[in-house]
Amino acid sequence: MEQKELFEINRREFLKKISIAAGSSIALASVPWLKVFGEDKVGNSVSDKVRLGFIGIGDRGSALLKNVQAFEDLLNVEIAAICDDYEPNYQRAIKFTNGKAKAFYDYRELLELKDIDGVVIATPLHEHARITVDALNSGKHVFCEKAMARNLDDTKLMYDTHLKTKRILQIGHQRMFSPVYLESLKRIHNGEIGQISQIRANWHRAMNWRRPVPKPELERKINWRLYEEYSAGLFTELLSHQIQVANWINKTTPVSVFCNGSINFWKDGREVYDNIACIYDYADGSNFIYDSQNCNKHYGCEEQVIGSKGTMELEINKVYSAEPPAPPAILHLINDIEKDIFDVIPIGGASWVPETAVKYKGDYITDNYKMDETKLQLEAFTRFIRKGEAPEQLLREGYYASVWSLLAEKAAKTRERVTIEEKYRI
Amino acid sequence: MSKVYHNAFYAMGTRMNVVLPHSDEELCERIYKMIKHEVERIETKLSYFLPHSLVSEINNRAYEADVKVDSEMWQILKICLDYNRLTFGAFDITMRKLVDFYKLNSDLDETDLTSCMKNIQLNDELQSIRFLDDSTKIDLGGFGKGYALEKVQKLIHDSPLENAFISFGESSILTKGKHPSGKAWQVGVNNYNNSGGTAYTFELVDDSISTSSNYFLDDSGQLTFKANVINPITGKLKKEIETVTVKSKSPIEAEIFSTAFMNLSKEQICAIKEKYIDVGVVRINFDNEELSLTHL
Repeated sequence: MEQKELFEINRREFLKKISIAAGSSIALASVPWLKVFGEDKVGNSVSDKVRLGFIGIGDRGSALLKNVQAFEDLLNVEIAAICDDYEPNYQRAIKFTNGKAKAFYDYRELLELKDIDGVVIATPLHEHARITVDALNSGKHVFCEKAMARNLDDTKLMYDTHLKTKRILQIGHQRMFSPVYLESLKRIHNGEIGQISQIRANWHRAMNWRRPVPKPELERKINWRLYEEYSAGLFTELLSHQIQVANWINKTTPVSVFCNGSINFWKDGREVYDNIACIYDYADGSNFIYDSQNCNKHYGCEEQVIGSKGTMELEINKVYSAEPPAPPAILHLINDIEKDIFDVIPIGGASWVPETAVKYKGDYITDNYKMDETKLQLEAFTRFIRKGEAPEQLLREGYYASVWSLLAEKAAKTRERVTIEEKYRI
Repeated sequence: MSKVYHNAFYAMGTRMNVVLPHSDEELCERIYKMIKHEVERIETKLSYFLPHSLVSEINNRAYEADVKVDSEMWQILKICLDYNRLTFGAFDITMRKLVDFYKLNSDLDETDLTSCMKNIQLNDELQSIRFLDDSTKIDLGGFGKGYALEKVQKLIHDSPLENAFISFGESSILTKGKHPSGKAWQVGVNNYNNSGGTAYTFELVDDSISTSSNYFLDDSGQLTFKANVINPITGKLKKEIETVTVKSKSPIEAEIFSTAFMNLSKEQICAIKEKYIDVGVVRINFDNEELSLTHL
């Protein structure tokens, strides 16, 4: 099946889900950014066209670009310009766009184009802030991959510039567009698994994150994730995804974070940790417990939401009820024993069976169809551009995910419990 | 006020409730975890439905080759074949084919299909199993709960607990000792015609009971659905609304006999009982307004 056809099928499925979600005020309060999918149809005229520029066409940037190409015609979008200061990426981007997009080495030249509505930024982390701020100041709307920036001041500067310029700033957290996560959130917020006491998450991989370098002088440019100047490693690359989920579920941000980190396995000259373990606490006394390491992939990536009535495992799309309902006869028996009463227990009979046969082995949270959330969040970005605005909550999720990832890094470095300074609250 | 520990978990398509009248909660928690772990281990091995269980491996491969099994599965297979002979073929681990037939042909109440027990070949030397027919499958559904409770019985026997009450889906009950305030555990068989009422009461001390029936009641005692109980000897569905409860010191025996006795005549049951004098049997027929109870 053609990629575009597949996207359209999945997209229709997603929109169907959204129309169901839209019937629930609870759901839409948590996910106001979904509303845009149910709004006006996209016009086909040239004046309706959304023109995008892509800055940073490495692996992630290429993936984003191809995602947009899947719906360029369908949603009247054009990839009008590309930019990368690394020659192989620059050439690759020209190839991907068949030479139709204007190509640049310097993002500032791309930002000078008057007919570009928005830019998609997928450069190394330390470059996000500078490029985003310049893009917003030049009147462009911005979609920037998570995490937002290498440090807290730059993160806040990006947010403040968005406010000042009134341009859209959307941070790439694709789980906020995932049918599984959206359905999970709705059901968690409806109280299905009871009071949340812990969210546990992990991201374990067996890989060194190191890429081949054609010339030694390019080591830090290509392997930027390994160096503190450019990246916070596991904190900004992986934890940022999952702290966003925890905050989203808890409908608030943490009070503080403890964290340990070490270079435990990959002692190859890298500066960022390959092993981290964090505990975030929330005002209601619940915890978000997180660990990530790079030497063993057995436990993979998961978020386990543990409530008083059940557990959800979001990555594998499963929900488990906490325990079977107690038969009245057993409750009767317990009551009798406690009160020293000796009586007949009417219990012997046919086997009890759960209402849903598979429930005790875990049930799927939602239909298990293939869905590309990255495409959907990029579609949302183009729709927001057409409207000229995006829900602030979408950015707040991304902002606090970035801030609390960086605060975890600080906690690991200082070995102290870290809280957020007032100046970083929004 | 006496202390009592209670916990429950899902297993084998139903639930296990563990009631331990003891003041040491830590001890009870430890024993509960051992019980849960053991039951889950057995389910993982004996399940017909789990694709990687040993039973699934046998079902997938035993027609093509001898499937060598471990000593535990070997003992289980020997027990099942022995009880098949002892119960005149009424306890049958190859009934899945007939069950599936009636699921697909819900309007029929008889078939030409018969038991596949004769197609099971055990090789003592290799400790292996082979099927002589490609449609033969084994399903230990009528055995697993009893086997699991037999293992739980051993765990509790080896523990410091004096009294315990374990309910596995309410159809299989295991007791140790007695009710703390009485001389036994008094367990009533649910009355199909009178929700919440008791049709017969067993007194259990270190005993187990197992109940087989062709109907299901929910927690409020209401009928949820009727089940197909198929006579392995005739291939026909059992039409009478009936329940058979067997009391025994051995949970395996209670489980096997309650399954088998649903399809045996009074004379056949009595013939078996002559060899098992400690086993108690109560058969209750609910077909008429007045229940008919036979104590064998």
